[in-house]
Amino acid sequence: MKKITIITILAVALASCTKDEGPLYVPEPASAGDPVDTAYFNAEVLPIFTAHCWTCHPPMGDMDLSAAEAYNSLVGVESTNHAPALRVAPGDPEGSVLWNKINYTEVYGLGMPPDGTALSSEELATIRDWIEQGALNN
Amino acid sequence: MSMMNRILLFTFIAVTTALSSHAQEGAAREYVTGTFAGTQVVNAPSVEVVPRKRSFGFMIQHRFGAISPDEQAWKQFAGLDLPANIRFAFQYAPFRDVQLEIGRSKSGKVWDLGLKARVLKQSVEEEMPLSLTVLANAALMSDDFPAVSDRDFYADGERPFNYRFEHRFSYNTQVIIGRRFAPWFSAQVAPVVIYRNLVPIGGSNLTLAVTGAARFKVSTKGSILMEATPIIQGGPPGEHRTPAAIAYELATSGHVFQIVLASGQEIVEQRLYTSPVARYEEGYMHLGFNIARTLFVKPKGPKP
Repeated sequence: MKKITIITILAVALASCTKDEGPLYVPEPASAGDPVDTAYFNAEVLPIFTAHCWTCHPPMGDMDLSAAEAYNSLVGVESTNHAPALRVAPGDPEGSVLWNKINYTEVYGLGMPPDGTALSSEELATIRDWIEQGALNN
Repeated sequence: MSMMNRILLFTFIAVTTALSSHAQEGAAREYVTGTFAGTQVVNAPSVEVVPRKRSFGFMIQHRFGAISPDEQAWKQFAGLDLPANIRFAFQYAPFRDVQLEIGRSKSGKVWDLGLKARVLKQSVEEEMPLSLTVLANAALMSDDFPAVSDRDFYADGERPFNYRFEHRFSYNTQVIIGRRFAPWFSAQVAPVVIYRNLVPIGGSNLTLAVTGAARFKVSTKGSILMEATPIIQGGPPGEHRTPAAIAYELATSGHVFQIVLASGQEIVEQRLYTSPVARYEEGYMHLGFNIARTLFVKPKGPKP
């Protein structure tokens, strides 16, 4: 009986083995004459903050990521813990504390979200596009 | 046969060998007890198993947010105000020196199922100078996968990416070798093989590490525990720090309580050793605690 139990457990474990790596986000190739792709803060970026960040960065905190204040809390604002670095430096993802945090680079302390539930590759690409395009309040 | 399959096969052979060796044991030999007080050191499993057939154990492991070395340390009250991770585990010994364990942790909503068997036991008369325990564990991430777009691909950049059920699994196999050198000092070393079915781009499915751990008994009930796990292969990309933890332990018969300082918030080893390590050289650490309770069940008496 005991050997059957062990064999069953190991058989289930063996059957579910696979070896995969991903996902890799590949942007749509731009063709000549296409306008520069535009990322919209209110329609695309803000919902990401609402889904992943707002619970721990509510209105009573020093970095309010609620819909009304998220833009003013982030863009061009010095990081509390890593000044003079900006939370979001328009046009410069690598120089933005936010971008480093959500990519777990640890350049500016702990990655976010802190429990390791990383943003999807599409969400990361949206935020990167938005910062690269000037982090507009559009 | 893949690497992972060989590891699981080895574990199976080791466990069945342990079971059959017990059946063949002859004259009673006196064994060293209490190499470690519980079945965990801090994050790493110890050489111990639930000590008696049909007995069971219950464990709570908790890790708060990071203590940061600045004004946030007070503001976030040493990380207690930040999101935390917790794992509940239930252990049961269906046979002597064999333990089944099921756990559930908050981070990733991970369920883990483990089998741990003590193959060799250190004896008082030194016929056997070491204890050896094998462990095999499978973890299932039950949280929702992130959204996938039609521009997401596997690493080859050609096959469209889709999350599959198998991607939720990761495995952990260890051979733990321990010894109680003196009543006040025990130590163990454990090669660790971790396999994750899905890894981020640039990651390694296979992670190899070695855990070293020690227990220094400082009073009748108190001990200081230390552990570190250098990653040999497959750690987080760009990470050069070694996952480590220290704890102060208070142990009585059946109870273990530990106050923990750990370099990571993850608890399940498949995630702990493959996640970025807190910059402890700058003062970032995670405060936490472990509570374990073993409930002994009286052995069945001879039938009249």
